[in-house]
Amino acid sequence: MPTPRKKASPPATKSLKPEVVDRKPEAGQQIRLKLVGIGGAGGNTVSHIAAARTAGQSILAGVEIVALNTDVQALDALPVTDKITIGVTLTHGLGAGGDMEVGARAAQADAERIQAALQGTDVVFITAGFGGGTGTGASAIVARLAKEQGALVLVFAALPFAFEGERRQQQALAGLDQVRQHADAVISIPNDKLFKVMGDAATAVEAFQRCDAIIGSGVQALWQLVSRRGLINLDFADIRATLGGRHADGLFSHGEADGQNKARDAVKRLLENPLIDGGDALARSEAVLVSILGGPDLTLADVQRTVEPVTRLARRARVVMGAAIDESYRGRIAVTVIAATPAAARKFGQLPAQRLAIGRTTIPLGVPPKPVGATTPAITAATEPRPETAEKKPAKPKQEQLGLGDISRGRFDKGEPTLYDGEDLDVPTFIRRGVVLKR
Amino acid sequence: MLAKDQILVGLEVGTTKVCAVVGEVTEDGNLMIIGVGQAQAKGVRKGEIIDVDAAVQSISAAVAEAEDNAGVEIHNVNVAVTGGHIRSFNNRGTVAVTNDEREIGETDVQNVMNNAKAVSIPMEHVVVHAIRQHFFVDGHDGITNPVGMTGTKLEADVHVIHGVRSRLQNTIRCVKRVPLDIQNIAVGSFASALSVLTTEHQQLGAVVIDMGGGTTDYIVYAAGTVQHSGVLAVGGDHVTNDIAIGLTLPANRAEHLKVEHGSVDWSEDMPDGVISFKREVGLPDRQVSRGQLCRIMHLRIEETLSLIKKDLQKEKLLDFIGAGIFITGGGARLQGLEALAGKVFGLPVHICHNSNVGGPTSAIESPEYSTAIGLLRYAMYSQRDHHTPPTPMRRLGKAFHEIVAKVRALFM
Repeated sequence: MPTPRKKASPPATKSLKPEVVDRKPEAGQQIRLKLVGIGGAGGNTVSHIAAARTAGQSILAGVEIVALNTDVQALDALPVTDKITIGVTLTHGLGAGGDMEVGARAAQADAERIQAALQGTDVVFITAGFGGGTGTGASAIVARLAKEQGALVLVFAALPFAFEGERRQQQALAGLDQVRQHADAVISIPNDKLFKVMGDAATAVEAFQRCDAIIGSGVQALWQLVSRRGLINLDFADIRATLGGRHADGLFSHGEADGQNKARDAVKRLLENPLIDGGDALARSEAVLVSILGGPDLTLADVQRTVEPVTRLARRARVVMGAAIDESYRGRIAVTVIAATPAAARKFGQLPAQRLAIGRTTIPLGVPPKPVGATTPAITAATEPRPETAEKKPAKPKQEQLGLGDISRGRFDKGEPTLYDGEDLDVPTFIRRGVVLKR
Repeated sequence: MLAKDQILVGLEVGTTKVCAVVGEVTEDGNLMIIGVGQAQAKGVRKGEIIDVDAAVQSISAAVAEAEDNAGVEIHNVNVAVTGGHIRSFNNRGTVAVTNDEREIGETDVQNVMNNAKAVSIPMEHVVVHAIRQHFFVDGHDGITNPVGMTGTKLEADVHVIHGVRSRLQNTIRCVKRVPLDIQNIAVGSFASALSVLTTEHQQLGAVVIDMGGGTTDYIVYAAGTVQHSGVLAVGGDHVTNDIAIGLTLPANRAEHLKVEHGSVDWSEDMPDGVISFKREVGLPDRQVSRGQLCRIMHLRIEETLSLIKKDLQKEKLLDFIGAGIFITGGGARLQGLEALAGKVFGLPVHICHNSNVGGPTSAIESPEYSTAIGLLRYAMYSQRDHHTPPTPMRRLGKAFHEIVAKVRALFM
């Protein structure tokens, strides 16, 4: 569907506004979204999405796709029209060599070109594999440039496998820290966790496709929120107010279902996704965006049934919801949740990777579901719900939940945590509530 | 009744204290407390044993003190169990009445109870109580005693309380190592309710919240029977821990502040004050803000009570609480608890005395003894049942006894 576009050229459907810092879209103007794939992994992700779109899927229609890399060869191979080679003066187009410093310097060197490419965009999604050179280093720079333009910046970061070694892990975490300073929300996808869900039998290609699909569905959910006519309209200002400026860690999950109990099933799937720890992270969220997509037959009762369990879990969060109608979703319902967990809470003891989870399930209910995008491989067998995750009782406590805390559960440190609706009650209430005590 | 049966002992192995209460059943069937013993509990956390040897010593000490006070030798005890692993739910059993006249007999009642108890609980769990609520005869609701009625279908609603077998066993093992024989086992909240609530309270609807050191147990009565129960593995220790972390104090100092200076009824406009205390020689006096102390306590207890309220709301029980909230256990001594609980629940709150017993006021008025005293009543009902024809209350006791016997059989 997309006609080839020159980079930074205004798309035919939109009138480009001259850039103003902290610009806000004017009435009637469409929101411009841009998906930027940085580095090898990021490039692969965007090219999967681009390929799906060329194949006739309605996925992300209207979202502009840009690929960015230090490696000319890798970039050339991508079926994406907008490509930016960065840091040629530094690396001669040979890649960053796994050094994030080089990646950052390369992006800095070509800041103007990146700026030009991002001009006039309202939402910038950055997708990158963290741990290597270009993605890890350049993402923060791109996020900063996008932010300076006044765009809402969301980052999807794929974290390396444990087997890739400590150095890459450290580099990935360092990169995450940097990108967090500029982005509005960072959604990290720990590869280890993702692949655990898929099971041993998954081929490498499937696995990477799945990762791409997850990022694709996240981008798509937001795109749907702002671009479809809604039953309950969620405008860009809401999204901005919800996610904007929080520098938060993101949580993202998606579920869809059809049939009699489609609303209930979709939420169940959303919460059951092992990657979101049974809603554990939702309980800690401070802002939650719920997007519902249904057919023209979507009822208000469906909406209520979908949102209610989420708001119940995310009881301290500011919840913003929208419901959109899409003809192709007749008889089906898809629900996506994007939540922001305050980054400040991190010091109370979690690895970011444990809190940030991302996931998507597509579930056959009698009829095999039509995938939303071609990049949505069914992974039903692997994610078949473990019944206890769906219950209100939190999932089995995991050892790593306890680690790393510099503040703590005090005398209960060594015991089994007292989990209740995803909260560890052994941690002092005033800490969980974020009450600041005067000493 | 045999003479030796007249002496009953209730033993609660709590997280902070082990309480032993010796009671005597008088000839007219009243309960009289003749001695109490208490020892600081060691090796118990959140209501469960973490160090068997330490726990055994604590139990021995408490029992020895009770023996001294009561002037009797203790061989048999009734033990309370608790812990975050304890779960409960309501279940309904159904049987067809098979005899020719369609008259419901004791056996039918037994059968329907067994049927109601035959529920799927997790493998490692064991049923501690199956408390009968009421019966249905051919779908007719609200029957408390179906014996003698006619009908074809008998149904019974029961409240089943179950817990992890191995974790329940830990407490039992410790008691046996003292060595003491165990007569009955009861869940802490149920025992407390027996000591705290009168029959009228049970009819009107009441919630008993037993705030212990490591757990907060609660049980809901309405229409005369147990409707719901639960355990939160959060107690006074958590309050102390919160204070210790929040004000950076050692745990014993935090405990002292909680007991002596703290209040859970905090509000934004509460006048602040400074509490100062001496430290080890050579260190300057330490000062803490009373406002901060109370705020930490307030947040924790308000949260705990709110979690209970939320659970009751979920079970749609709040509208059936006519008599109010009864708070007992060591936590009942927290300053300002009555006011705070009133605000949270919007119901009358009673900080408890143990009713239905005679004896030294020190024991009766101590909320810490509720569970142990309740165990005496529990044991009394169980025993009486063997000697007297069943009345509803006694049948209740009998049912417990059977369950307990079954539980014990499982443990042995």
